[in-house]
Amino acid sequence: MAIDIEAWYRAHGPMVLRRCRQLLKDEQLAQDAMHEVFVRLVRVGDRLDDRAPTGLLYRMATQQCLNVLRTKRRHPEDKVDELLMNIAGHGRMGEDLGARSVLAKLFSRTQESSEVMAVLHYVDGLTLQEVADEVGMSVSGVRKRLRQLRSTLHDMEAA
Amino acid sequence: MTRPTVPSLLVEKLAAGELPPDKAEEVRARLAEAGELDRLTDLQRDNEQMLAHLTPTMVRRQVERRVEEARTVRRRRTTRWVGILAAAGLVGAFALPRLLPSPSDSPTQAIDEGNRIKGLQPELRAWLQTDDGPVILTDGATVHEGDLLQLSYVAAGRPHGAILSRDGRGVVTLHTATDTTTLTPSGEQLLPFSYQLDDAPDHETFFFVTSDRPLDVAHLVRQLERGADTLSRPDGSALTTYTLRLRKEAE
Repeated sequence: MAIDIEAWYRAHGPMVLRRCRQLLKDEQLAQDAMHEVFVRLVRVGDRLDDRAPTGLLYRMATQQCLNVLRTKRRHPEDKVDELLMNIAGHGRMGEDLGARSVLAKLFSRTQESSEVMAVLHYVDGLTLQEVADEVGMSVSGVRKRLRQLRSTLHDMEAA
Repeated sequence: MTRPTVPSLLVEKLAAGELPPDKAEEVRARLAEAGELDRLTDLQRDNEQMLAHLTPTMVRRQVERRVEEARTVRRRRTTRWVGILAAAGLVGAFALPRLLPSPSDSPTQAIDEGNRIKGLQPELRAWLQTDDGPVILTDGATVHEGDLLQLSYVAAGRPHGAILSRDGRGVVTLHTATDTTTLTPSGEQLLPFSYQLDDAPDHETFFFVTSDRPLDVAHLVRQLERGADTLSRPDGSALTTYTLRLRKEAE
């Protein structure tokens, strides 16, 4: 199935751009990330489940922004933003950590979806149930995944 | 970044009509409780402004351009891997000419210059040095400034020849000796020096001229400097020329 880019953008582009602006706080970076989300959408092609695409595109935009934040450093605006930067791999979880966040190593060891799940829960404030509904997992599965993240982080901090 | 009372994903899904009825009712109630029901109308206004500023046509063109660029990169990588595989068979490539008939009984001996040669033909090969090893470049391959090339030739029985190149600025370089045009007539022969591409734009075109008789190299250089694509002797008789054109691309 060839993607009708204009139709998809008309229906969901503003939401994607809004999400990218929210996380990146830079108009140029946000527009660039938004375009990349649609490039990924074209690549997904006929594997796309278009029944309720808002959640899918929101998560794709989140992932794309995390990828950008890994390479583009900026000062966090507040605690929530600092958390986001940590998840993206550029923040500092504490004074003992090096310039490159432990979380960067942490998330490089775990599945990409865990990274997005962490943003949905810790940054966006979705409940565990809402995250579970969004990613198609059980609440216990989400809790386990986030616990694994925290555990890995603890081990890395202790090392 | 302040965290909104109601997560933005839920508001986006509510606005898109993608929440189940009970969840939609719950989110609407949470927005009302937080005094944030106007977020829904804000979203609508925001959508209209964005679509007017960054139109669907503009986005489609940009996305299509990026998709095509990505395909080009993949094609280039594929070409590279094909080349690497060829390089993996490098021994075969070098060994093959040695198994062929010697110049004395080669069928190329009786072929007039300028005519198409049946069987083995003189050939110029360009190898690109990469981190993955040598990669053979086919005609039309893409190269970049700073690329290190190693040239080799197969004379296919021709005793004389010269290798020259012309870049996108029209600058001609002689890669073989200035004082002799004698070739090693059999086997694949590597030139003693590699060649690093400079910043000349557009292309780097290599010419491998072969002959049964000595060549006037200065005459060849002058012809290429005048822009000729086919080469001849001073008396106008045609010379067999193998051309390898590499496309130059900025990084």
